[in-house]
Amino acid sequence: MTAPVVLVAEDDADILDLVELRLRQEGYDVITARDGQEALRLAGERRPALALLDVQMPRVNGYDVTRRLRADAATRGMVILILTASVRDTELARAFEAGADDFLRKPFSPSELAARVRAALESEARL
Amino acid sequence: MRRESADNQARTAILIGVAGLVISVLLILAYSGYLTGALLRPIARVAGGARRLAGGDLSARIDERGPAEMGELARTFNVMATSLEEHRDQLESQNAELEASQGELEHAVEQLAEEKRQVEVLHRFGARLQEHAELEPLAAAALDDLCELARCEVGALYARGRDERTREGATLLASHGVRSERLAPRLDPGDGPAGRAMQQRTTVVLGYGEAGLRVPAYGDDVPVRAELHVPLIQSDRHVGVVSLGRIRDEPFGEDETATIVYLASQAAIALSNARALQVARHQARINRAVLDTANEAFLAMNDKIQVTAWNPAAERLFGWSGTEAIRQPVTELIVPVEDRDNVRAELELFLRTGESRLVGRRIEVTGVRRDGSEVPVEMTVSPLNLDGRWVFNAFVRDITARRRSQLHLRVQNAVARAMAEAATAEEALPRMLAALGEGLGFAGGQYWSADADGHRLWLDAWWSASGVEAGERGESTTNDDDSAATQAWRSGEVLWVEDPAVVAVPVISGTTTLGVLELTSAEPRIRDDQLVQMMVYLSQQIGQYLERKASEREAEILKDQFFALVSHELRTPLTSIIGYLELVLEDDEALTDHHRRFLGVVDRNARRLLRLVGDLLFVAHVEAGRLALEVGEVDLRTLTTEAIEAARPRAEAKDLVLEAVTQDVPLMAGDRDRLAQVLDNLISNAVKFTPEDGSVTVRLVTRDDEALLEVRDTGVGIPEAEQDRLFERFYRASTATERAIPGVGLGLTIAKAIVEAHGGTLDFDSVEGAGTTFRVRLPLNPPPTGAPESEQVRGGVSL
Repeated sequence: MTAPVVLVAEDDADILDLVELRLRQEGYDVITARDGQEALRLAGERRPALALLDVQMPRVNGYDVTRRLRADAATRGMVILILTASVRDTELARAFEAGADDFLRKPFSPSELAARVRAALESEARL
Repeated sequence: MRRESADNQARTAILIGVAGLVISVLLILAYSGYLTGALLRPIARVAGGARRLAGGDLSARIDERGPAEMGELARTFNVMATSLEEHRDQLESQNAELEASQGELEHAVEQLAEEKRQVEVLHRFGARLQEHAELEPLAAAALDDLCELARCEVGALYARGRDERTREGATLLASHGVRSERLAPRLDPGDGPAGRAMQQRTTVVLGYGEAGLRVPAYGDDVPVRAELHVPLIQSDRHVGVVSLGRIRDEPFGEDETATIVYLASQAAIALSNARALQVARHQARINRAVLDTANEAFLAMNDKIQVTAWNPAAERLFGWSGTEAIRQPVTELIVPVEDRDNVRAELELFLRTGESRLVGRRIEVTGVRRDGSEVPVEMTVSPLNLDGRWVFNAFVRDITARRRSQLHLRVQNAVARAMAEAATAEEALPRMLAALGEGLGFAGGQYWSADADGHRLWLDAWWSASGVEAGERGESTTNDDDSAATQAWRSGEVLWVEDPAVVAVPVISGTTTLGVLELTSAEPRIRDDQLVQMMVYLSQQIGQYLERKASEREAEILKDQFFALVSHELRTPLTSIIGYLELVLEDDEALTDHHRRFLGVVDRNARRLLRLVGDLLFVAHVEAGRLALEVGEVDLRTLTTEAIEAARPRAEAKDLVLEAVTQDVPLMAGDRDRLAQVLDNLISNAVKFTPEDGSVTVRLVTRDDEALLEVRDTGVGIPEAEQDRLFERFYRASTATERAIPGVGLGLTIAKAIVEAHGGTLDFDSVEGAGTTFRVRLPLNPPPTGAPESEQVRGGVSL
């Protein structure tokens, strides 16, 4: 069984590295993008099982990436987690409206992130 | 005459008596010729006696000796002579009496004539006094007459002022025989002989040499030789003084003086009456002048409700002239038809009982003008009983303007209230329109706002009395329309269309026309400048309000952006710090204990920074009214125990006694995390602010329907002067800053906001240096606050 492909899109390089590092430890095949456009391209090419999208990214933000992934039949089924630095409830509501499955607030514990990714993929697998 | 005849009669009687005697003597002599001898001598004696008698010597007597017949004759002769003598004495005495009574009679006649003359003088004086009613002519006439009657060449009359009881001086009213300029215009009590007469109320008489006045008479100044100063007193009231002077040398006699004093008292009465009349006339003139020029309408009526007085202001107010109004029933003139019976009944009630709700106090009623229009008036009807008959005086004030300004004030207040109470301009505008429309009697109102590029007006808000839509939001004017709103907007002036009524008022802030406020009615309405003025004023207020709201909204957006930025820009690096720390700490083998401890410090401070960011955002949310609770079941006791345990390591590090006295508390609805935040804050504060070896006691009990949580410490306390400000954000007590106890002053602000969002209260007692007790009261079944509940409901529906 090949490792599931996980796309991480985050414009902050340090956080991107942190997430990549932690998820590789968990055994995922991690692909990374520095902006929304790149994320969309990679998602189209590699069809990851899960995308971890930061909200505030250059060019295309996390919500729009989510919307476009959901709009495309090829990527509609992937699990999408939103990463946000905002604590506002309206932001969370927007995440769900755009079609995200879950969200995670910054700052997060890398272990918690790993646990959430695992849980999301497992529940997705059960369906 | 009578005396003469009496003389003649006496004389005749004597002559007759004497003739008889002579005849008798002749007979006796003839007889004696016959009787010679012894008879001759006695007869000769009788004859001698008779001659003496005849010669008028009635005392003649004769020797009665002689023969019996002769003796008898002599005696008879003597008796006769004696009788004759007595008779004559009697007559003479009668005559003397007659002469005496004649003198008395003549004296009485003289006296009568004198009295008659005096009565005539007095009468004429009295009549002269009555000829004059005015004070000054009367004084002149009285003085002239007095001078004439007292035969004085000069005179002066001084009268005192209105109040005779005061000690004020008198002024010169009249002069006689001397130019008034030569006399003092005023006379003070005690000033000269006249002043003395006035002050002492006595007549002062000065004789020759004492008088000082020199007056021009006979072509040269001559001294007055005698003066008489008589005080003018009328029944104890001091009217003045009259001074009379004689140039010729003739002192004032006593009788004369008495007469003059009497005449002066008559003059005093007349002068006093004249002055009373003058005062009354003055008063009446003043009253009339006041009433004539009064701005307030004045009218009087008699007990038949007929108008007896009607001033010019009443003419102006009601349109009826004085001549038209006088003697008309007041009800017919100014009382609306429907009120007339009532007014008549009330006045009749007053005449019967002395009481009426229309009389004696200020009332606001509706009056009617000559042209039939109505006018709100305020009036006071004052009853006055004049010699048994009632008259009613009434001041009537037109209160149209007052009513209008009251109305305008009410409307302004209502608009101000709408601004104050509404959270947003969108909410306030329809309420303001309603306040204006309802208050001012319009059927509808719109607010049109100008778009940014100044091309069109967009309908922002509307109100209608009937509830029927007066427009649709989003409707706009067109470039070329000539609606009232557009015209008012383009001109910047109020536009008033009278029929049907449209009032369009530009809403201006500074130099920008923000929009147009429009009030409409299906009825015609004449332009009301006062209303226009008020609307202009109000539109400025509204303009400022809208501008303020717009900038508030802008500030709100900026603040939001700022917090979003802060949130993002702080949380992003913290994400790396905390995340990498976790990765490093997970790698047990690579770390020494030193490293582990150092990294622990980094982690603790990173989290402290994170908490601070969280607190700032929380306060921002509370201030924006966006504190949302995630309501669930909360066990306060568990929460309290957890908070105590979390604080215990810090308490033990300071050797504090951390005690908990907790009861089971029923489950309550609340936000668990937020309440935990409150408990953490209060307990960790208590630990933070209590010096070593102190104690912190936490008590949780149920009281009635609420949970009471107390956190008591023996800490530094809060100075009394600072206690009021403790819950202000970023406020830190001096006892905290002086001891460099860390914190930013947000914890209590947040705790209070959370407790209040749960319907509870947070307060404290503190004594500086002795400790502080914070008290949280939470209702045990609090209705969840509006926002979270409605969100839950909405969520429930959408899911």
